[in-house]
Amino acid sequence: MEISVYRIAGAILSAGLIFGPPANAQDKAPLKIGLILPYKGVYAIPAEGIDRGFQVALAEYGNKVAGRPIEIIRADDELTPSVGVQKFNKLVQFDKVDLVAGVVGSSVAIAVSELADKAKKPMVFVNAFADEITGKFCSPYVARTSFSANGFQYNSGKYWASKGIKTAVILGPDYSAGHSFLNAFKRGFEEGGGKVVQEIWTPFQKTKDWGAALTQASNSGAQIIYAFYAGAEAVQVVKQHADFGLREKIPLIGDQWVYDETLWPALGDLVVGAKHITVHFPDLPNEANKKFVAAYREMFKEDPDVNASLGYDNGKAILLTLDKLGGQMPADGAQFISTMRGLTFDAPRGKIRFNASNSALLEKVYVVEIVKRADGKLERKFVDEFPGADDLPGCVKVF
Amino acid sequence: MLLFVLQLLNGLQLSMLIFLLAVGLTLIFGLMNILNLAHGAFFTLGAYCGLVVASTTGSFWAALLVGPVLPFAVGALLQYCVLQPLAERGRSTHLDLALLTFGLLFATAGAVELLYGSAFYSIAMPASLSGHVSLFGLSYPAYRLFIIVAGLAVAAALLLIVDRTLIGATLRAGVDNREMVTALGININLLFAIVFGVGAALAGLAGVIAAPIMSVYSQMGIGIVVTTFVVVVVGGLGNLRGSFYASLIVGMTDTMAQAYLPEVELFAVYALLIVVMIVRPQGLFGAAGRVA
Repeated sequence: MEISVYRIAGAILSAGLIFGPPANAQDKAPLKIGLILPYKGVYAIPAEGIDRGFQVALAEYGNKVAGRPIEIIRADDELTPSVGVQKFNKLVQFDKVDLVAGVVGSSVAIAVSELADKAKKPMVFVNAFADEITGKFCSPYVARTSFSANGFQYNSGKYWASKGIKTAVILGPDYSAGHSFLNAFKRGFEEGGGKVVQEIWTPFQKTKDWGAALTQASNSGAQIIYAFYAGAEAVQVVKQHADFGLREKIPLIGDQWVYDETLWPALGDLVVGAKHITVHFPDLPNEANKKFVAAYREMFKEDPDVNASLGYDNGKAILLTLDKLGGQMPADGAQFISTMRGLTFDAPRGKIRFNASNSALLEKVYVVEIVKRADGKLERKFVDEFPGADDLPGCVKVF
Repeated sequence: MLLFVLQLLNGLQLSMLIFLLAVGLTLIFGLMNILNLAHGAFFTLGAYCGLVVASTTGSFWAALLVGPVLPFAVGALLQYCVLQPLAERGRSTHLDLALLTFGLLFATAGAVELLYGSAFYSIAMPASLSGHVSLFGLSYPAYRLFIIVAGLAVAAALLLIVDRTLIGATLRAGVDNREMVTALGININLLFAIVFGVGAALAGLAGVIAAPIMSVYSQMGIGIVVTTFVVVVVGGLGNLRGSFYASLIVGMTDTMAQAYLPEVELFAVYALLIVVMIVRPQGLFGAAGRVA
């Protein structure tokens, strides 16, 4: 009899040793986050910046939330919707991630958001600026930590109209993002009393020579060219604009991507004196930014670009939400997103809050000028700021 | 009117750049019947080789001279050591070679990205060409005029070589009747390798010439394949004059569409391709018989 008692006790003890306390074990299991970015190809540089910013946010939390380690599983969407869909499915079904972050291209985002909605898996976009993402295609399982095209550009149009610019040519790539950004600018600019005298759309990723477009723009009599381009196309437009001697005659004004600092080596002195709008630059004087820039410099030995700040915002929003949920992923992914929607936090770019359709808003948009310092290095000089606009309406779902 | 003349110059300049890119392809396709989808890779190789030379010597002209050497060597070796043996094995070679060269195009972009990262680079314009030239009351960037002159010079030199030299005669004979040329004791494999190398070198030259106004990056060669194939098809296979006129047609179509009908720019070149394929599949300037 005694023996059997010991046996039972021994059995219980060994079972405990083998299986461990169940509740505790679950706490220590890693939280898996899928990170989809276009790591190779034309958007490789922004993707790397975003990834690094995301890492800075993770490091700030010591790679843990509520005692649970965070595991990042990366996937490359190749900026192609069909590939993005494959990678999303792989992350959800094979890697069993708790949520998915990232995605730069809006066309990829639209394809992926439909899947997230069906799979009821939280999807937190890092860029994907098209108005429709949290408009027509909105979902209770989808959030965006950056901003919408309208939020960024509408008030830019109003701003330049209020600065004595009466006529402009808009110049951009003929695809969804180009149209979203420049049409938002046009709405604001014409609302503010300006007039877009000519719109020039060039085939996306097919155009290498802007000679014809720039000749037309120069002849339009407008005061400025307002452009949206990124990567190789931005380099070519800025260079060729200068080659044609148009810098004085009709300045090229754009945003943080046209004059992205990763392009400065290819552009040389051509960027000096150029003005553009941006949501972030390293010298922003707020506390959250100082902390972020210091951490980024420590980790990567250089200044963060705007993409890094967007990646940081993405990571930070996710980690804050997970922290608020006590490190537990709710059974319904929508609850994760609605918790995120309730957040307000200080980010490097300013205060971030979300609207009713899960899209982050811009507290401020900054106007900067690129100047040459005494030591020959280039930096951005603050010129002015204006508030970001609200998103376009379009989301008919209620959540 | 002044505006139209400027646009004509823009069109001419783009045409010459397209010609430099496409002429090598048309020679290779016409002579060897190889669908060389890797042509864009040589454009990239030339540009990066030029970039390295320009940054070490500081001279654009050195880059222009040395840049095409690497694509020439790689192209000639590729033809002699890889493509030729594959063609001799005689399986469905058109598809085999197309797949191989297509893979090579992406492999080159990947290798360049591995070595140089995905950053954007540029070759500085020579100071003598960075200004503007006043012509009949209009001001036009000197470098763009240089592109026009360079394209015309290459076209003239190639015409002279093809029409007036022994190697040109052999080449023309090879395009018309390959078996007969072999039967006459010409080392056709060597000729093929040289022509392939020269074609690749011209693409590399285009890469160096384009670098100061465009930019140098790992994926730069991928987007150009379609445009060059349109030129090859419109101009007729292996037809030097044809590819010159076809480049003018494609370059002007593109520029004029961008200037006056931007909505159809992307569509215009493809529409041209479709019409030519239906009406004259041998190309506008090709001899009857050879069909793309």
